[in-house]
Amino acid sequence: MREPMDDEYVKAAELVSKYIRGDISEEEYNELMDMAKKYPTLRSWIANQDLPLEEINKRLTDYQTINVEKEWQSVLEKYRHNTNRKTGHRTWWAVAASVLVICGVAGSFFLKKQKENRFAEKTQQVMEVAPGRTLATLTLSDGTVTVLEEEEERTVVDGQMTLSISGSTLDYSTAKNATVQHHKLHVPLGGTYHIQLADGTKVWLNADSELEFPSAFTGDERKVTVRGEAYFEVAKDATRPFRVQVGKTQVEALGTAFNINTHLYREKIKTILTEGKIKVSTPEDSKIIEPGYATISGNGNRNIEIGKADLEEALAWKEGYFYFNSKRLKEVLDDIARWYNVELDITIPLADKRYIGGIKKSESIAAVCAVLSDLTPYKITIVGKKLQVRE
Amino acid sequence: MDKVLTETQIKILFEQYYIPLVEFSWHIVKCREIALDIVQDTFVKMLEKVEELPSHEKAIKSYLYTAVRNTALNYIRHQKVQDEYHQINPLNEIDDARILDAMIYAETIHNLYKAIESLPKSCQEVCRLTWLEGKSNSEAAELCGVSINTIKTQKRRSVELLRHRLAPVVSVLKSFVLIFF
Repeated sequence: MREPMDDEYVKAAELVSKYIRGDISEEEYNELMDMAKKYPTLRSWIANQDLPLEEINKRLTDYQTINVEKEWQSVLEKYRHNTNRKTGHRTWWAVAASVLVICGVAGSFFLKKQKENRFAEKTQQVMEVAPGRTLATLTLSDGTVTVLEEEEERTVVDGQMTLSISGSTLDYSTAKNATVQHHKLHVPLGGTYHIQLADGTKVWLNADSELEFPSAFTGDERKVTVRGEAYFEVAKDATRPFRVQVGKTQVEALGTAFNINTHLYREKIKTILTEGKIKVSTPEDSKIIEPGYATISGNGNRNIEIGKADLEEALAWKEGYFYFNSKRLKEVLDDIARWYNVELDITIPLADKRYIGGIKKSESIAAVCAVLSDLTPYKITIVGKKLQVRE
Repeated sequence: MDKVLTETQIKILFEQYYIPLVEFSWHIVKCREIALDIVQDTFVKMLEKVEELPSHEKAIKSYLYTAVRNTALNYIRHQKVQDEYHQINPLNEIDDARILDAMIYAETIHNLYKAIESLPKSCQEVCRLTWLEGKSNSEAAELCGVSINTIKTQKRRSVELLRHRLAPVVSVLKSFVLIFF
């Protein structure tokens, strides 16, 4: 991004400014004259010392009214809103980075060790809170609700259509469709589910999420509706754009992979693009983003914000990890509560610190609590179906 | 030589360079609000950056100008796509000369702004009201809740201080004083 030219430009601008002020040294003056040979625009500045004063005066007047401190506050606000913000304090970043190593890389081992040692007794009493299993419900066009269990092999029939279920995947791509049916896949707290749509598009649904879709795509677009968090791998079809409606936001893709999350921010929708290209639209705004970027849209925001994205955030959950990049403890706990289907019981104000890391979702909640108690200044325990956070 | 800057260090740079960078950016985009946004976004990006920024004072300055220029030019390119049908922005001739001119304006504004900022608070207020907002001495006196004589004294003092700070006095400052009074 930096070109060597800029250093020279800054130097030239400083010299002209000094010249105008009249406190230029002879050496500097000679330097400026040399530069003027290279940059003709400097010559007009040197020749004509009369600045467009009224113009300068007008803007200077305006600049006097700018409250620089207030402007800095809005920079910080933008920065905090931004999805890819690392952290405000570098020192904290160093701590967070080591958390990533502990939880993310050596996570499983570390958690197991914790379980065997001092938490061996505690885990006994809390084992009834199992981590979420792959489990969902499918609502058929006639309103029939089918429960989809973990690791089952069977077929579901809706009218003339036969669907196959294998493991944790519902497959529409091989189903024979006589008519188009409207289906709804609901994943409750404590579950995740994977579905392949009629066009071959794969969708992973996270806990507490919902996908509405047709059993077959006809017409010139492929349209589905989502609530909660979902990761899409869209099958390529240049002639029929794939559109996802999320509240008032619409995401349009042509052969691409992205993650949509409405759980993260109050009323806000975050879309992370991992591959291809997408267009995110709201009634007021529309933006096209490239892979590695994310948008934030939704209530209260007229404009769609764009920021650099953390791809881990989009991918980790479907690989079976909680992943949090600089999330507040409350947000981490919300995710955990959603997965283990427990209630949060927090009686104290939580510090505004941020955490980076990952926890394998197959761990017991007691082990997760143990790790969090170690990493945070709080005592986090599971009592019945409640996750207690205490001083 | 390069290092990662802390939030506090970035804030110091912001306080120091915000105004000249806004002026610089204004010359490229020709819109106050967008110019402000562009400089703010540049600093947001700096905060986000974990990678290193140049630590040398001079290098930081040209880093900032470059970053703002790139953000502003990106904005214009994007704008051009949107305004394909309305050629409302006469921004086709953004060449190096114009960037250099913008930098000279920015540096000049910077000096004047700093000079006024360095005046005592009471003088600054009088400067702002009488010179920059075109208020008369009596209006300024009323707004400040002081006598006209105080305003006159403050003005005289400001001129002396500015003269000293921007000295040696050249035609520019003379015309400034003329415009101001």
